[in-house]
Amino acid sequence: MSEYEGLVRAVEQGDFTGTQNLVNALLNQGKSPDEIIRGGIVLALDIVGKRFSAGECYIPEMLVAARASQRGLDVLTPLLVKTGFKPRGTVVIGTVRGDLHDIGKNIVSMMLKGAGFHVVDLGFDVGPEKFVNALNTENAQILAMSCLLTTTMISMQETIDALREAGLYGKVKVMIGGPPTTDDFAKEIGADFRGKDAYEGVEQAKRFVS
Amino acid sequence: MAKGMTHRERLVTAISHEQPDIVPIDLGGTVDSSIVVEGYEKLKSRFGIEGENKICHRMMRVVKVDEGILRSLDIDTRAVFIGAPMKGEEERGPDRYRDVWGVERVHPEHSYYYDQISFPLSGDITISDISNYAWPDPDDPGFVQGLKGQVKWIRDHTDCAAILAVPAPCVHTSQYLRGFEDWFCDFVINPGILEALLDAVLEVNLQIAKNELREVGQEVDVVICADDLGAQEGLQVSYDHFVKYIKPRLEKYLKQIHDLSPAKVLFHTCGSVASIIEDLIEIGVDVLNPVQVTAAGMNPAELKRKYRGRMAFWGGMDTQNILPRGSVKDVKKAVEELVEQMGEGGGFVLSAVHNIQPDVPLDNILAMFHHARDYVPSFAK
Repeated sequence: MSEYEGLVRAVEQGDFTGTQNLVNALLNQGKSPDEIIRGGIVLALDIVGKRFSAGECYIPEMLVAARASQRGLDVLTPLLVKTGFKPRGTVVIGTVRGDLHDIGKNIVSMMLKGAGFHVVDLGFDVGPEKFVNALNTENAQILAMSCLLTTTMISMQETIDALREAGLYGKVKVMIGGPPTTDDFAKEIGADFRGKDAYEGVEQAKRFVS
Repeated sequence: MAKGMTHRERLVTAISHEQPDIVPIDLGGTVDSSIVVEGYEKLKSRFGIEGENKICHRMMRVVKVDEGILRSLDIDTRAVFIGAPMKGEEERGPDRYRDVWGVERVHPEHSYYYDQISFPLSGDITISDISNYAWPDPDDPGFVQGLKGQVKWIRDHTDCAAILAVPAPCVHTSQYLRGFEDWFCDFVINPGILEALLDAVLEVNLQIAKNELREVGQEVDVVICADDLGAQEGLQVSYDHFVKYIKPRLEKYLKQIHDLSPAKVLFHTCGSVASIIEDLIEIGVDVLNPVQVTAAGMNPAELKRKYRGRMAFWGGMDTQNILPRGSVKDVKKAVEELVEQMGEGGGFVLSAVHNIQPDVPLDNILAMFHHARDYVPSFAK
């Protein structure tokens, strides 16, 4: 039985207060922020992500777990920065131009943070220039784009075109997601990966930087 | 198959699970099977139609399709739209408005639609915030104004089926008010808030629907309402949550429709909803729209096999891939497959899965409706 089991359960169940209390308790026991993230938060999100992928839980359960993990990270991230901890990698993420749907993007964003990435979330209705600027400024390894609408899928293509113009294509890994996207579409526009759900996206992001 | 039926007979026959002369088709019979302004402009120019567009759903920016176009395409349905309330809606700028529920929307520059910018009941709220909220007046005469006139026009000028729209029961509006993320989280961590909000919204909509049905419920052929329950890969919430929180409220709403109208109930719910079709049959859904064929478990042949004679289906023409990205040949093939898989013995109305978007080529739109009319399925030979 792991000493992180309580924390894992609190995150899984979306227990915000419990998550913060257990994170503080573990810190008081002398655990490092990094250990708590890897031992507790990453594990909990991994469990929930897998259950979602398998159709065993749904958007509400994913969202409360992601929000709970966020409460834990609110405590841990400032401490991590102090200890000079290096994130697993940097991801620039956003819902593409013309599209204001961000639940899926928010879940991926929170899960990436939980998995130890530095995440620069640009929000929704994000144009190609803004993506390119952020990738440059943040020196990011990964671009993650989301859309819900078929009519905004073209913005993904436009953003990849902008990466080419900016000389970033091939240097930055591009992943896409959202209900209308398919593997064929990803190939067609030159994206490196299309995730069926948040779990697949986060797993691929880990592979990109490993 | 000889065309021997009126449009109305064809549609009613099909949704009563009997074989119509040909598969009925719908465009613009509901606010979920119409076409977005920019796409409609292309259609108008092909048919030489001029004049201002009549918007039938502002948020989705879809139009009331011109009668001439509907006739040319031999469409079997005509919409009876709910009226606009006299009070409560407000313009907040050129591309910005507040609806009767107090939700504000704006039309962003790069979007085809209006999107929400305010979620009036989001965040940490209490039950009393819900009970004290400025709810719309369901007896506002605007909601029912013009309903009788619309039905009379359809009866006097067409032989088509009349489809009456009543409000979304409780899911959509409660999501708009609460904000989607908070709404989803409430299922797990705030079920009391969730139930209070669903009930408050349901109460208003039950009364609006009642007023509409008292006005024209006896005269229409189909009553449609919409509440999205599916996502691409499955339900939006778990089956247990659906059964506990949504199903009983939906049942109450649909029962009222059946009590006040002999019309068939058409329920629009997007995404993968295969796991709740038995439940929907049980609570009074006669026809399911839109059969989002690209969502998990929504295979037309499989649905037909399982629910033949018990649930009719309306929609099926893929708007995520085939219509926007396929060729005319792909569209015709999809029409043929759908008609073969779903048309035998009735129980099927063909339409696009959702409002036709501006990314759909005009030739694909025309091919869909023309080929649905021309194609003779194997079961009819």
